[in-house]
Amino acid sequence: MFKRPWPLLLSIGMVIALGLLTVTLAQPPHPHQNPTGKPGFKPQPGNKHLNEIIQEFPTNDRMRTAWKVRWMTTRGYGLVIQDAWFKKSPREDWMQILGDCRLGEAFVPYHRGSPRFWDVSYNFGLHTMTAADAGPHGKLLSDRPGGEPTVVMELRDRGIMYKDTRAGVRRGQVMVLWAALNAANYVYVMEYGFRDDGGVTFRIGSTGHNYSGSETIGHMHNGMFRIDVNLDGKDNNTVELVEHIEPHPNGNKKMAMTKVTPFNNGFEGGADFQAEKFTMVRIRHTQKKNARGEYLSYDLVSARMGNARHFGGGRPEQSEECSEHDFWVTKNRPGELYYGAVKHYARRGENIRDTDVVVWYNAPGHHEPRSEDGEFRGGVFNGVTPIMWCGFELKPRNIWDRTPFHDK
Amino acid sequence: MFHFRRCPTWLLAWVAVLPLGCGQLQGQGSGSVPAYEPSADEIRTARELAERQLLGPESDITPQEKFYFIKAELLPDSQAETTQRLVMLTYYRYQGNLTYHTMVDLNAQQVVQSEGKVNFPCGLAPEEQQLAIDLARADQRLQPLFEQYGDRLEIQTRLSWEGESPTRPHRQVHLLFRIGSDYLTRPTVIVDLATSSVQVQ
Repeated sequence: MFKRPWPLLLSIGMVIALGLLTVTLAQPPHPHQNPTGKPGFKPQPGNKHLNEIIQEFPTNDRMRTAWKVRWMTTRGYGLVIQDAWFKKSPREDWMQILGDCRLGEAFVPYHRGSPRFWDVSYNFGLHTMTAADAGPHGKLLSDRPGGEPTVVMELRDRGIMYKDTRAGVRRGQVMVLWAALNAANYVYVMEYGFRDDGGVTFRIGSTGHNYSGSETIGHMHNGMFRIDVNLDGKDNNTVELVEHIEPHPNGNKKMAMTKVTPFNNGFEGGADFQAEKFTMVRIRHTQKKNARGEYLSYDLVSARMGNARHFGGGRPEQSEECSEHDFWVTKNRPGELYYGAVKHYARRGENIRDTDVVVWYNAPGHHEPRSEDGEFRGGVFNGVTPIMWCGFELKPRNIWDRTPFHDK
Repeated sequence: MFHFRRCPTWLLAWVAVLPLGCGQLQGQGSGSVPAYEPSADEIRTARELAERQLLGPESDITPQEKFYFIKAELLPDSQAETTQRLVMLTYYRYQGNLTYHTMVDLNAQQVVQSEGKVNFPCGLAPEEQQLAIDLARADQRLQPLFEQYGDRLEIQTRLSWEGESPTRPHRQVHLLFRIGSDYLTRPTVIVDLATSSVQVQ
C-alpha cells in the first residue's frame, strides 16, 4: 500500500492530532470564570441524581399510589434519603414529602460514664450486603455502577391496613430501603419504609457485639434523626405541637381534649415527648388543603422505650445538650447537619412558620445486656446481640380526602 | 520488520478514532464519583481554600501543633437536583480541643463560613487511627498478645468523647481486638493521642 512509511506515519499523526483537538474543544467551559480561582478547576455538575426508585402500589394490581425516592450512601450517615415524592393516584402529580433525611448521630454512652461514642461522627462505612441480607424477596442495590451492594430494597406486606365488618379487609404494603453501618463491634441498621398510604417509617436497629470490656454494662443507643420535611415543596411549611390533655381543663374529669399549638411559639427550639400527652409534632402546609378544606399535614408519631437525657460532655459547648429535648425544629440552613450541634443551631431563634423547616428527633433505646447477647467463652465474648429497634413514623394527615384504598 | 503495505485498513481506522476514545475515558474518569460526593479534585480545591484561611497569616495555629483534616462532605440542597456545590470540611485541633467546620462554595471558589467549636465530637483522621495502633503495637505490655495471635488479630479503633476538662484534647482511642467472629474481652486498651500514652487493663 505504501512503499515508504513516512506518508502513513504523517497521516496517522494528523488523525491523532485531529482527534485530540476534537476532544479539547468538546470540554464544556468553566461555569464560573473566577479570575482569582484555581485555573483548570471545574466543580462536578451537581444536577444528576444517581439512584432513583419508583415503586407503585399495589404490587399485584393496577397502580393506585406510588413513591419516587432518591437515595445515596455516604460514610458516617450511611443510607440517606435525598428526596421522596408521593403520588395519590395515577391522575395526580407527584407531591414532594421529604428532602434530605438521615441519621444525624448515634450517641452511645455507657452507665459507668465511659466510654461515650458518637458513632456517626466517627465516619464508619457501610457493610456490603449479600443475598443472605436481602432474603428471598429483597433486592441488592449499589449506589454507583460497578460498586459493591450496600443497600437492600424489600417490598413487604405490612399487615392489616384496615378491617371492618361490612367494608371488608385490606392488607397494606411498604417499600423498605435499608443499610447497615459497620461501627466496629456494633452494627446499626438504618431503615426507611415508604408505605402505600403515603406514610413513612424511620427505624434504627442496634445489633452486632456487645462492647469489649463492657459486655454486661448497660448503655443507651440514641438514634438521632434529621428530617427535612418538604411537604409539597420546601416552602410554606409550619410546625405544631399536638398534645392530648386529660382531664379537660374545664374541670370535667371524664373529658379530654387535643391541644394544638405552634411549636415553641413558632420559633426554633425544642420540645419533649410526654407519654400521658401522646405528644406529636405536626408539619403542616400553610396554604394547601385537601378537598374537605383541611390543611395537608404529616404527624411525627413516636414509638419510644423512653426519653434519653445525658449530662456529660462538659462546658462550654456541651454537645450532650442535644438530648435535652426529644424534638427540635430549626429553619433549614446550609451546613446544619450535625445532631450534636442542634441546640446551637436552634439558639438563633428564627421563625419556623411558613418556611423551610427541619425536624430533629431522637429515637433512643436502652440496652440492658442479657444472656441472649452472648456468653463468655475462653477469653472471648461469643454471640451476637439480637437487634433492638427504635424509631418513629410520619403519618399522613389530610393528605387524602377519604380512606385510602377504600372503594365502597 | 513491519510492512506498511500489509497494514490492514481496519487498523488504520482504529488508530484514527483512538484519540476520541481516550477523550471519552478522560471524561468518565473525572466523573467517576457520584455527583453527591465531592471528587478528589474538589476536595483538594476545597482544602486549599479552607486551609489558606485556617492556616493563613492571621491564624494562631502553628505548624508544629497537632491539627488534622478529618473529612469532607457535600452538603445537601433542598432537592437532589441542584447545581449547588457546597463542601463542609472538618478539622480537629488538639490545642483547645477545637473542631473546625469550614464551608466552601466550590462554584464561587470561596470560603463561606468557618467556625471552631470547643469540645464538639468529631472522628479520627486516618493518620490518628494508625498512630493509635502503632503506639499499641510498640507497647511492651501488649507484646504477648500480638505474639499469641499474630496475623489473626484484627485491631479496630473507636473514639470515646470524654474528659473532665472541655478544653483538653478528647482523643482517647479505644482499641478492640477481634479474632475471627469474636472479640477478646481483655485487655482493655485506651490510647491517649494527646499524651501518646497507652493505658492497659
